[in-house]
Amino acid sequence: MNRQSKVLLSLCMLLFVPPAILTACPEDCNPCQYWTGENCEWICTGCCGCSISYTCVDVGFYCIWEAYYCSGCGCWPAVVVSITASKESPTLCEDVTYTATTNPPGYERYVDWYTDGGEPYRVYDSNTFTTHWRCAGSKTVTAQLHGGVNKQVNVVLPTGCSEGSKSADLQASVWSTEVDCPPGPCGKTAVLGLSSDISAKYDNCKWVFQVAAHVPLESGVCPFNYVDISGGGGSYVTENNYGGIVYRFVATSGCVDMGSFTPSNTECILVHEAKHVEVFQNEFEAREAWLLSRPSMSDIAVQCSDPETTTCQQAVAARQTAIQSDLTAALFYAWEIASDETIAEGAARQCFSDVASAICSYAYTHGWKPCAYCPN
Amino acid sequence: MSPLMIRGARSRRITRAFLCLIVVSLGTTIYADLASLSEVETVILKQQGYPTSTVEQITEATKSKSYAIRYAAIHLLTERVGKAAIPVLKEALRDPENVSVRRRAAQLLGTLGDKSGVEQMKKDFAELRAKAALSVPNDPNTSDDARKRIQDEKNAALYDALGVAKVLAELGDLQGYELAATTVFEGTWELHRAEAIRVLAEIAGKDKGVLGRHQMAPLAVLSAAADSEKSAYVFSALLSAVAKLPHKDAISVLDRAGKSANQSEGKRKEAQGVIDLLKAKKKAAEEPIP
Repeated sequence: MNRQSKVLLSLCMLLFVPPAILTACPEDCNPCQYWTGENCEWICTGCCGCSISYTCVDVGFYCIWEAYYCSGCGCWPAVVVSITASKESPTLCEDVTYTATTNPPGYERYVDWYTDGGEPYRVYDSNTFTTHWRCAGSKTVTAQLHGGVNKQVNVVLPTGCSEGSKSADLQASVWSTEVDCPPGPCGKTAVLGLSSDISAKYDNCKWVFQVAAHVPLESGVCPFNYVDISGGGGSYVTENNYGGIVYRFVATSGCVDMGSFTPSNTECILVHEAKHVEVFQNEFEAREAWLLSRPSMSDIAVQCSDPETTTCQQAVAARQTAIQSDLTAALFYAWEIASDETIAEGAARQCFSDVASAICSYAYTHGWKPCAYCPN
Repeated sequence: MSPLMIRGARSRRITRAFLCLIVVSLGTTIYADLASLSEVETVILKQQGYPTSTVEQITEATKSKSYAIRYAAIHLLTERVGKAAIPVLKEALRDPENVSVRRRAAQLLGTLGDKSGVEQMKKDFAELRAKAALSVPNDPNTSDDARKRIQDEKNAALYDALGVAKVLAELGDLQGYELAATTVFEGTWELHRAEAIRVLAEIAGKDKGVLGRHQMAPLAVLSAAADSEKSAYVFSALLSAVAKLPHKDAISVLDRAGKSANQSEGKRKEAQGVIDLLKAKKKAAEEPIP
C-alpha cells in the first residue's frame, strides 16, 4: 500500500466510523465493520479491503466492481475521456481502429464499444475497436464506461467516386454532313460508331449505374449522285423528260435515275435524311427505359466481404461488359426499327411535291405537253 | 361528253402515256440511302474487335460472350451464307442466356423457310408472359427497392414477350394477339405500346378469314390506338407499322391518325404525308407509267 492510500484509509476511518465502534464494537462486528446500533455495516463498502482475519488492512485497496477505482475510501467509476482513431475519415469498408483513454488510466480494457451500422457494430471489454462501414456519411462511435464518449466519424467515398442516381441517356446526333457516298443514292444516313460512358454512383449504401451513350451519325446529301432540280426549268428539264422527273418526285422516293441522270432536290433530300436521323434518335432514346430495367443496370449493394463491390471502379468493372452488350443491342434494335423509308419519304413528300408543282407550272407556262402526275 | 372531247381526252392520255413511257422506263433503280442493318452491325462489330471480313470471323463472333455480338453475327452470317447458316441458327435458338438471340435465330430461320423456331418461341412467350403478369408484392416486408426491381423485371419481360409475339406472328402463330391488343392501351412504357403496335400490324397482314375465325380485330385496335395514343413516338411507330399493311387497311387507319385530336398538327401532317405517299405509289402502281 502506498503512502497516499494509507492516509486515505485513516481519513476514512475517522470520518465514517462512529465513535461507538471505536470504543466498543459489538462482538459480531469485525474490524472492518461498524455497529450502527442495530447491525454491522461495512466500512467503505466495496472499496476498502479487509483481510481474512477481518482486520482492516491498508493493503489491497480495490473495488468489488470492475472499472471502479478507489478514491477517498469510495468507489468511483472510471470513465472514458477520449477516443483516438487510426484514421479520421475512413472510406467505405476501410478498417479503422479506435483506442480509448480512461480516467484514471488503466481501465481501458473494460470499455464497451458501439457504432451504428459498423461491421462489427459492437465490441465489449476492449481497449480498442476495429470496425468499418458499408455506408457513407456521418457515424458515431461510442466508447462506454460508466457513461459514454462519442466520436463523430465521417465515412467518405473512395477516391474517384461520387454520389448520384441511376440514369441512362441514349443520344444520337449528326457528326458529319460530309458523307462517304457509294454510287447511287442521293443522300446517306449511317452509323459511325458507338461511344459510351459507364459510371457507378453511390446511392444509399449501393452502387447505381449511370450510362451515357452516343451514336455519331453521318447524314447528308450525295451531290455527285444526282442533279439538283430546284423547280422551274434548268438545262436538265426539258419538255421530253419533265414528266418523268415529276413522276419521280411525287410517286417515288425522289431519287430514281433516268438513265442519263438522276433528278432530285437537295433541300428535299435533306428533309428525308433528317427524318431518318429523327426516327433513329427517337428509337434509340426510347430504349432508355429498357436499358434501365436490364439486369446489367441493377444496383450493386456495397458488401465489404465482396471486394468487387467496395469501390465505384470495381462496380463498373463488374458490369462493363454486360452494359456494353445491352447498349450495343439497343443500337441494333433501334436501327432495325428505324430502317424504314416510309416515314422519311412521307416527310419529304411535300417538299418534292412543291418542286414538282414548280416544274409543272414552268411546263404549263411554256406550253409543254401535259403529264398525268402534275398536280391539277 | 362530246365525241370531240372524248377524242381529246384519249389523245391526252395517249400523250401522257407516251411521255412517261419515254422518261420513266429508262431507269427505276432505287438506291438505299439509309445504311442497312448489316452495315451498321458490321461497323459496330469491327469497333468492338470483331472483324467480319470472312465467314470464319463471323462464325467466331457467333460464339462471343456478348449476346449483342451474337445477335448481330447470326444475322450477318445468314446474309453471307444463306441456308448454310441453319446449323448455327439452330444452335442460337438454344442460346442459354438471351431471348433476343433466340428470337432472332427463329426469325432468321423463318426467312430461310425453316419454321423450327416456333416451338422455342412458344415456350419463351409462355414464360415471358407469365413473368410479365406477376404482381408486385404490396406487403410492408417488401422494400421499395425490391418492388422496383420486380417491376423492372415485369416490364422487361413484357417487352421481350412482345418481341417474341412479333416473331411468332411472322411465323404464322398469332397467339400474341391478346397480349398486344391489351398492351397497346395499357403498356406503361412507350416502347411497350410501340412494340405492341408492330405485333398487331404483323397480325393484321394475315388472312382476314383466319383472323375472323379467331375473333381477332387488329385493324380495329390499331384504329383505336391511332385515335387515342398521346405519345408522339408511339404515334410515329404506328404510322410506320401501318404503312406496310395492304393499301386499303393502311389508309383506313392512317386516316384516323391524320385526324387524331391527341396529336400535334405536325404529327397529323406526318400522317397525311404517309397517306399521300401511299396513294401516289398506288396510283403509280395501277397506272404503271402510262
